Amino acid sequence: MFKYLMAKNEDIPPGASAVFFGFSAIIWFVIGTGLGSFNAAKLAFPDFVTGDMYFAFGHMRQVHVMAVIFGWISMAFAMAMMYITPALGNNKLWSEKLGIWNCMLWNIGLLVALTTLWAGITSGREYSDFPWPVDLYLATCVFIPLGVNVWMTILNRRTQGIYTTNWFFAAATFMVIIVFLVGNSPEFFHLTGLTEAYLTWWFAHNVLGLWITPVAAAIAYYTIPKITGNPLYSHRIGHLHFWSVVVFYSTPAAHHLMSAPLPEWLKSFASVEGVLILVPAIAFVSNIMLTMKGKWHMFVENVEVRFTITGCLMAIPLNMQGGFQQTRAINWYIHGTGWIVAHAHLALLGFSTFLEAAAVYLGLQTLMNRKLYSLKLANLHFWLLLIGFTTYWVSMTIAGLIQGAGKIYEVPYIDVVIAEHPYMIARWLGGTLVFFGNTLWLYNMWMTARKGTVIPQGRMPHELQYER
Amino acid sequence: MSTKKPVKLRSFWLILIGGMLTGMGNGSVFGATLMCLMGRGNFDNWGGINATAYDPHTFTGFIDWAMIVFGIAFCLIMIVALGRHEKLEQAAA
Amino acid sequence: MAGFREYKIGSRIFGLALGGSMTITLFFPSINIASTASTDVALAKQLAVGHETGFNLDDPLLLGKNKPIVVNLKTDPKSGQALPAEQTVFVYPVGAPFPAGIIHPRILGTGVEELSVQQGHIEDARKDAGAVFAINKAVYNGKQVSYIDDLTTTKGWTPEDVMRVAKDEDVSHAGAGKTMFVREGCWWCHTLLPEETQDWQVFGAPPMQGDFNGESPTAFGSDRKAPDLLHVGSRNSSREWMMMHFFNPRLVQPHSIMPRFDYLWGEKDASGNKIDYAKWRAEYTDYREGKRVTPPEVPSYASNSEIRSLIDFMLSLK
Repeated sequence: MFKYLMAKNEDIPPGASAVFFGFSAIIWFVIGTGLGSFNAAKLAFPDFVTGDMYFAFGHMRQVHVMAVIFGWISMAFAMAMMYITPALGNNKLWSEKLGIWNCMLWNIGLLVALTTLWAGITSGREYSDFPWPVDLYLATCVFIPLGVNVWMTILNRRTQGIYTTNWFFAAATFMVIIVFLVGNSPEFFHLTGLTEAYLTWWFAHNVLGLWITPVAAAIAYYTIPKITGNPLYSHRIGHLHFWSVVVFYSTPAAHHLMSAPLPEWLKSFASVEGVLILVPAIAFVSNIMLTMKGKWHMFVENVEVRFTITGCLMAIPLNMQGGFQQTRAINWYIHGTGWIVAHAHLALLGFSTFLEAAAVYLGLQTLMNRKLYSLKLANLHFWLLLIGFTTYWVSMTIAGLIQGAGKIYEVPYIDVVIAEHPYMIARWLGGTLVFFGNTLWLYNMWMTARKGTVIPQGRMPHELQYER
Repeated sequence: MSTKKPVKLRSFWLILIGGMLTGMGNGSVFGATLMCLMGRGNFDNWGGINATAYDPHTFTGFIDWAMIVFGIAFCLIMIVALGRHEKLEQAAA
Repeated sequence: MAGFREYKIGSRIFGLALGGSMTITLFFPSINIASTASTDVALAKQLAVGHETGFNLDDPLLLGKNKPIVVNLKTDPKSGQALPAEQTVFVYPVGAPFPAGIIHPRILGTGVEELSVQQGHIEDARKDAGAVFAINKAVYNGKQVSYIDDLTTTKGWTPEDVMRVAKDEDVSHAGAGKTMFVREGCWWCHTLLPEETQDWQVFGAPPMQGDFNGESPTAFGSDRKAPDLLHVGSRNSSREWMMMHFFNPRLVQPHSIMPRFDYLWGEKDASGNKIDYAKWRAEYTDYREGKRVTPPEVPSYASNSEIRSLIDFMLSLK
C-alpha cells in the first residue's frame, strides 16, 4: 500500500484502492465484533475485567459502535464504490491515488478517533460521539475525498445513462457529507439544549437513512444482476426506491425522541413519515426478489447470492419494525429497551452487513482475479453470522419485551435486570459466534489473495468450480 | 445439477433459520401492534386469546406465540416458494 | 466527460427534495425550540454544569477542569454576617467559561433574557475576573419570572470571597460531576429522560421543553439498561449509599450489572492514605466466596477526587 502513496496514478494497478479498502473493512469488522462480544460479556458478567477505566463498559460501548459503522460498514461501502462505480461506468476509477490516500487517512483517522473515544474523550452525543476536531477530519479526509472520487468517476463514465447503483452512490456520498457537517454542528457552533438533543438524533437517523441503508441497497442492485445474469427487474421501481429514500427517509429524525419534550407537530410528522419508509423498503425488496426470477437455485448454491438474499429477507422484518415501532401506539412500549438494540443490529448486522459481505466477497475475488480459497470456510462464515445474529436478535427482542413490560407494569428495575440475565448470556454467545465467523473470513480472504486459483480474463469468479 | 438432492433438502437449515428469523421479525411487529392495541387494560386482563397476563419474569404472553407462528408461516412460504421455483427452473433449463 | 446531461431535471429535483426535507426537519423545529423560555430547571442546570461537559478546549481530556462550583451560602461573603436564608450561588472561578445562556442571553428566552440582562447585569460578567451567579425572581409583564443575577456586579461578591466563607460540605462540584457522567458513559445505560408515556410513577416527571436551554450535551441516553436518573437525587440522597454503590454496586445490590467505578477514587483516600485496590478486591472475592462474613470497608473518597464530583452531580439531580 505504502509504495503506491507516492506513485504516479497510472502506475497504480486498477482496483488497488478497492482491495485495500476491502481488507481494511474486514479487519475493522473483526475488531468491531470482537469489541461487541467483549461488551456483551460485561453485560452478562459484570465482574468480567473490572476496575479499570479503559475496560469499563461506558468506555468501550461506543468504540464498538463506531468501529463497525465507520470501520466495517463505511469502509465496505468505500470498497464497493471503488469497485462497482467504474465497472458500471465502463471506465477506471477517477484516481486510484486519491483512493489509496483516502484509505490510509481513513484508517489512521479512525484509529486515532477510536483511541480518543476509548479514553473517554467524547462529545457525549450518541452516534456523533467523536469530538469535533475528529468530525472535521472525518468530513475532510474521509467522506469528501470518497465523494469526489465517486462523482468524478461517474462524470467521466463511458456509458450513456447512469445505472441505479451509481445514482445511489453519487447521492449517498453527497448526503453523508451534508449529514455529517450539519449533524455535528452543535459541536462546531456550541448549539445547546433541545437543539443539541434533536440534532444528535437528526444525525443518527440520517446517517442510517441516507448513508447506510441506500448504499447497502445499491450494492444489492449490482451484485444480484451481476451474479445471476438477470437484468434488474424494474428500473422504474428503482426510481421509486431512490426518490422515496430522499423524500421519506430524510424526514423522520424526531421519531427517535418520541417521548422527549419536542414540539408535538414534529413528532407526529416524523411518525407519519416513518411509516412511509415502507415505500422504499418494499420497492427495494420486491425489485431484488423479482430479479432473482429463474435463478433461485443460486440462493442455495452461490455464497454471494445467499448472503445478499438473506440480507434482503432480513430487510422485510427490519422495515416492518422500523416503520411501525416508531408510531406512538407501539413506541411507548418498546422505547429505550433492548428491542431497539435488536432492531439496530437487524439493520446493521443483519440487512446491511449481509449485503456488504457479498460485495466484499465478490469484489475481492474479481479485483484480485483469485477464486475464493475455501468455500467451506465461506459457508461456515455465513452460518456463524446468521446463527450468531439470530441468537442475538431473538434474545435482545425478548429482553426488550421484558424491559417494556417492566416499564409499563412498574416492576422494580432490579427485577427486570434479573429477568434479562439469561438473554444477556445468549446475546453474548450470539455476538461471539459472529466474531469467530469474521476471523475465519479474514483468514479465508487472506489465503484467497495468496493462494486462490487465478481466474482467467473475462470470467466471473462463480463460473469456476471450487477446488477445496 | 439434476443429480443433486431436491432444493428443499439442500436448503433445510437456510429455510429453518432464515424463515424463522424473518417470520419472527414480522411476528414481533404484528404481536407488538396487537398487544399494544388490546393490552392497555389491567395487568390481569390485557387481551389475547388463551394468553396469561404478560409476566416479565417468565416472558409468557401473546407476542411470543405471534412470533413463533409467523416464523413457522415464513418457513412454509419458503418451502413452497423454493419448491415451485425449482420446478420452473428445471423445466426451463 | 459524460456529465449529468440526461439528469438536469433529476439533479434539480434532488436538491429541491433534500432542501425541502431539511427545511421541515431543521428550520421549522428550530423556530419552535428557540422560542421556548428557560424554566427554573434549565437555569439551575446550566449554571451548575457550566459551558460544556462533553469535549471542549477548556477541558479537552474531560477531567472536570474549569467548571463552576455550586455553594450553599450561609454567610454573607462581604460582611461575614449570617444570611437571613440559605442561598444557592454558582461560583465561576477565574477562567471558567460561562454557560451558553450568559454568553448569548437570547438562549434564555423571552422575559428571562430581559430580566437577566437589565436586572441581573449578566452581560457585565467577565470570564477573566470570575463571577458569582444566583437565580432570583422578578415580575416581567405581570408574570413572575426567574432570572440570572450576576452577584459580582449587583452585590460585589467575588468568587474568592464566596469560596473563603464556604465550607467543604456546602460545596457541590456537580459541573465536574456531569463531565464524569459523560466521560464514564453512565448515560449508555442510565437515561436522563423519564418518558412522557409511562415513567411518571417510578422515575418521576418527564422534563419540560424549556428544561434544557443552554445545556450541552443533554445526554438523554437511548438504551435504558438501568434506572432513569433524572430525579435520582429525590429518590435517594444518601452519600453513603452512593459511595458503596459506585465502589462496587454488588455491595448494595447483589443483582446489579453496573461496572465498578472504584478507579474514580484515585490514588489516595480521604485521610491521604494510599488505597490498596488489590487487597480490597482479594478481600471482596473472599467475601463473595463465603470466606469472610463482611465485605471489606469502602475507602472514604478524598474531597478532590473524581468520585466526589460524580456523587455531587447525582445528588443534584432532584
